[in-house]
Amino acid sequence: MRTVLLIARHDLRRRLRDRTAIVTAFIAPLVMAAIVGFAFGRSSGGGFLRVAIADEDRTAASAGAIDAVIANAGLGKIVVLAKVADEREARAQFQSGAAGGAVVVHRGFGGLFNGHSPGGVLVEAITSDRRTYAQQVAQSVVRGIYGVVSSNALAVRTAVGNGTVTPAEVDTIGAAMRAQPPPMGIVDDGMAPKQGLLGYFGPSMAIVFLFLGIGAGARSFLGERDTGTLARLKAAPIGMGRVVAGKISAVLLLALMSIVVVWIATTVVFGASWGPAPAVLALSVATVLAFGGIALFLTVMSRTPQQSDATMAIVAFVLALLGGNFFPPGSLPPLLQRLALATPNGWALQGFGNLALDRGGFAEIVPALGILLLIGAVIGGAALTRLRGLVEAA
Amino acid sequence: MTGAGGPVLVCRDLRKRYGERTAVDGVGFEIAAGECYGLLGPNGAGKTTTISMLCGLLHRDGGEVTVDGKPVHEGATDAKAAIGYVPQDIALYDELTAGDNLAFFGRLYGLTGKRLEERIEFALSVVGLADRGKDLVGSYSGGMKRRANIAAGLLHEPKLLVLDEPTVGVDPQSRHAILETVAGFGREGMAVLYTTHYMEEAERLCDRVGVIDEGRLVAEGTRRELVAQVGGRDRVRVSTAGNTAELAARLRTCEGIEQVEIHEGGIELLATEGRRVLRTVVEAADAVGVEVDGIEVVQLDLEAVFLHLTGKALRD
Repeated sequence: MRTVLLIARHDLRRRLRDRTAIVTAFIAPLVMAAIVGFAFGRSSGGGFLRVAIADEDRTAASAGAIDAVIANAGLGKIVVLAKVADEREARAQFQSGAAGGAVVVHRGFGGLFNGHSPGGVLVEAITSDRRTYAQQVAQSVVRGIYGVVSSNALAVRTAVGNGTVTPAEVDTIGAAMRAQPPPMGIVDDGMAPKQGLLGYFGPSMAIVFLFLGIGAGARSFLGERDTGTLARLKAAPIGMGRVVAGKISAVLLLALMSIVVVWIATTVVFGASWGPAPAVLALSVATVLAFGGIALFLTVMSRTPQQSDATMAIVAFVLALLGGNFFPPGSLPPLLQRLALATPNGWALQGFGNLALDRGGFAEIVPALGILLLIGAVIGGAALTRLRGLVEAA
Repeated sequence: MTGAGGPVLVCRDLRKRYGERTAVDGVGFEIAAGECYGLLGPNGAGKTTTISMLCGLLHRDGGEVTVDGKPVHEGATDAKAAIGYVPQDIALYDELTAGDNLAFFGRLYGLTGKRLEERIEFALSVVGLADRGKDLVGSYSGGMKRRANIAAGLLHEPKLLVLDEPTVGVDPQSRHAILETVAGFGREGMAVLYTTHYMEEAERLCDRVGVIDEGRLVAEGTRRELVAQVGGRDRVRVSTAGNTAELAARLRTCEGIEQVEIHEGGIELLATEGRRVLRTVVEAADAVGVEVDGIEVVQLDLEAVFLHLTGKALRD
């Protein structure tokens, strides 16, 4: 163990003397997370995809329709539909930028269920062309509420028409509709959306650079083989298993440090929220192991450090693109969302998204943890087998 | 096993194959404490493969190796602790100082604290780098790197020091310093295995020399013993301008000339009696129209021995 620690400490020290490693591991992901997080945050005037909904009708039918829309909207993880007290507050939030858009359900809306048509706009979207994402969401909410009216009003009218229910019972039906527990709760925990966004883009960017950082560390096997230091290590009275364990430990530890530093920095400096610390740490470890396994595999399949660098860069960015590292969560088309889960990036992001945006805990990241650890074990195991040959040939 | 006066290194019948190619074929020799043994052979002769097996770096297909009485294999920590290995490459970390490099490698051999500091100081002073220990290895000249490379092999006071062509690519001044340093190790009782393809290094440093070619040890002994194998032969160096190939071909047919090798700027001959073939050489040159700039009968050396034993020059 002492030898493993000695070699790990030695390798870490060497890596930390390399400015490129510092930039890749710590500075680049921080800068990218801040830029991407702020860029998306500002695109909707400071209230990123937050849409305020005011219910001025205040009937069981209107409340039921709003809840049904929220529950069935199939929203992306960073879209926030927040119920507010009244139209005045909805407009105030829109004006101040706290909400990118607003929807007001006006008085008389509930009458639609009884076949009454009071006229005028009963569900209004308050949006701006400059807030495109929020505008689309608000308009979708309006369409959704009218959709609920259409389907339910037809059912109610039919029921009233054939005498199954009386007009007096309509309110009761509305209340029953509202009482149905929506499958998705309303996100309105007072957390500023930007916090969640940075909590998502922080790990997202850390993952991209993590891969490059791990790759550079793993590549040191090839570099040491070429310079002869690996042979000198083999000549020492220590088992080669300890050499390999020490060097891999250093690579993984630096990668973990990279994520943790980005985590602490985005939390302390930018006020990001990554989620509960134990779950974030567990997911970070699993992510590091998965990417460590892949990076080591690509390294041992390369003939030269240069080939390893080139392969690593290509694979890192292809995985990042497919995995969705550069896009807001839920914004990929359905096909690409499914494809993302064929990459470790997709699973890691799903896990971090669950923690940062859904405010979930361990239970929500179990699948991601399992898949990432499996990737690390299978690909890392194959890499270790091949690494043995590389070391023997040194 | 070794005790007083016994061999520090014993290797017998070493064998290594890479696919169809035999890299080392039955090599065996011994080195006693305080003895410097030279493994002399051209590039690709099997020197590095042999010492890689001796140091437990490479799995061998056959044969036995013991160092200080302990069997050597890839996982043999006891035997490895008795070996100081100086690879042909500069196996040091450029981004660290020489002192930090030595501290790291010293710790791998179990050195710590004051003892480690003393050994680093000693090793750096032996190779003449005592005042440069805090400089980054990357800032060293090629010769200084070679010396620091040797220092890393000395740290743990090995019983056997293995140096794999330690003077490759260094300037004459650094080469002289390295040879002086290595000569001192033998005097201090260390067994030294020195591989080289420089005949003059082997002649200057080594108590005994093993001549290796195409993976086989073709001769072994002191310089005097090896030269005696060539018998009463002479080496004749002919400086020419013109078609040396045609001249060489003609000389091969001449009586009294055993071997002919073409070199840049001339031909080398191994003759039963050097002075008697001088006329033959001049006449052959005239016959093929080659101008002879000079003819020299030189004292037999290991180069001639190698030529005699293998039919080719060391630097081929």
